[in-house]
Amino acid sequence: MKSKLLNGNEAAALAVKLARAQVVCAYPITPQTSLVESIAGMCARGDFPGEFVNVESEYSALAYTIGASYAGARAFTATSSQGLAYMHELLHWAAGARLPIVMVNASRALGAPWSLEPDQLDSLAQRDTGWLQFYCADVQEILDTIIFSFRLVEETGIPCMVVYDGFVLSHTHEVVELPGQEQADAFLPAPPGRTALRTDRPQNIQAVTDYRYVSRVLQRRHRDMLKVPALIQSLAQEYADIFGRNYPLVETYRWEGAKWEETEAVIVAVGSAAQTVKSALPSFSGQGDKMGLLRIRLFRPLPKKEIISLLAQPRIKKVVIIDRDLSAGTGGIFAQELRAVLQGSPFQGDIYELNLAGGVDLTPNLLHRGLAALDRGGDDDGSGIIWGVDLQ
Amino acid sequence: MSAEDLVEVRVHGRGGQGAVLAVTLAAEVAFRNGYYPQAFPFFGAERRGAPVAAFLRYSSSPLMPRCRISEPDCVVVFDPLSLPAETFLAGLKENGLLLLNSTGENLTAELKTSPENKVYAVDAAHIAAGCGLIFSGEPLISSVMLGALVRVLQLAPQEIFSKALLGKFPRYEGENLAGAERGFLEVKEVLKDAIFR
Repeated sequence: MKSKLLNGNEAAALAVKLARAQVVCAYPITPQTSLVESIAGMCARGDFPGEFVNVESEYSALAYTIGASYAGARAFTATSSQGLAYMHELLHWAAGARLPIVMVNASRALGAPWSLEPDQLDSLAQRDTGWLQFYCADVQEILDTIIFSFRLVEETGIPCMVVYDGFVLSHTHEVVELPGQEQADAFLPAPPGRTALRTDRPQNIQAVTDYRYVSRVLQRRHRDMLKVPALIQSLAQEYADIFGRNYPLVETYRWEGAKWEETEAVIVAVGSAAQTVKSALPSFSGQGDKMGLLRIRLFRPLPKKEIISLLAQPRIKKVVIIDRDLSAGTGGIFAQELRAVLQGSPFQGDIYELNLAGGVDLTPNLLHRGLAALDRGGDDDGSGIIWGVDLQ
Repeated sequence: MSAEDLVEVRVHGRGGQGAVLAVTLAAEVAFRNGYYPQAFPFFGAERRGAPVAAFLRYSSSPLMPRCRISEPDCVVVFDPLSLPAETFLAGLKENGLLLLNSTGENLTAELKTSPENKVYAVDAAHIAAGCGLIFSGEPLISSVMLGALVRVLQLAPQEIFSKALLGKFPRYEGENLAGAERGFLEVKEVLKDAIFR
């Protein structure tokens, strides 16, 4: 293993190479573009094991990836924002057909108006498509999660979306431990090559059927999803044995010397914002709050059991959920999901929402102002949201 | 563990001048000298010639914020005459450093810096030309500014700096290595009165 300075898109491209993806089909869109360029460049230099296919749109990109996956290839695609929205119909198809596809989404706000800011609504709006979703916090985690996901999708037959913040991670260079090919091969066996398309046995696949079959298919998909957190935990141990890094379903953090068991207030953050919270936590230590961070890494399926066991403790009086997305008229999506998980649990505390929709940058100063605003209550529009944009 | 020795740098350039390359290679130098670096561009669409910014953050701890830099410890300006001074001085810390591509004499802008600010100048266009870094009639000053930046931040000693850059320039390696070394050696602290007439 060697250390290298890489940005998120470069690390993602190298992970796809290490995973020996056989077909990559994608259409460039900012901020994902340099990932596609990087894979296309490796391909042009003869330094990539698979085939790179350029198409005219994201819709075709996922359609081609689905075709490749039906044919038994280890397949990958990547997009952002409007591109992911354009794929929407086929996201359902890939999940319904149980195709082991891995996709990257570099988060970017949806228009209108046009924006390149790292709002996460693009992937969160796809939460019900039946894909697994990971949200990465740094560049190392992008590389590891992509390699990991290829194994996960092939064991479960559930496609996986690896999400990371546009620019904040896609374009930030930092030091990454680059695994060797032999490590990747030890974790990820050769592609199984199970093909649904056989010329010696022509057949119609996923043909029209009625509710009796469809409802069974959906029930099975639900039950298979529920088994995923436990599978991830066992694969994560295997991954750690080979690569030396163990990623939990949800990460907890307090600063040096502070125990989670003493936490009385918890900030819930997702993606790169979590590291800003980590760096700022020591500055809250003198204020009486015993504050900790909970980072949701796996969003689909949401690891409810783990979240409840970490948050539903009598000593935890306050949970502040940071969302960089908005379901207009309702609020942040992570906030909705956590409220639903904690409903009916022994959690007794108050829930606050700090909303950074539109890609508001979470600086340590903004976090301080957000927490200072908790006691004043949120917006008097009735939603109780504390808006990041009002704190700048 | 927190980033108590955190250093944050903002570089102002124009699209195509290599501001992003400069911070990326500065991050490489920081890494080779034992720091955890982050290097990132302005979040947006870049156009050749338009004002751009690039950012560098480093510390001996990986526990750094992950957001844009609004109160830098150091500001670097590739083209000081093309930007209003209040734009590139915005948020510069009271004891911060300012590094300008300048002969040290050709700035007439009124710069409102604090008394504790240190100002450095490097004649990057002239040095770049001397190293053969002229393409399409324009000096390529990125590596010279990088050398000067490494020096004013005391980011690494010269031998670590030179070694870290080997094989890292996408083109014209010899010329760029020479430019970086001359930037490192020739950057000077300037008296503010002398340039801010």
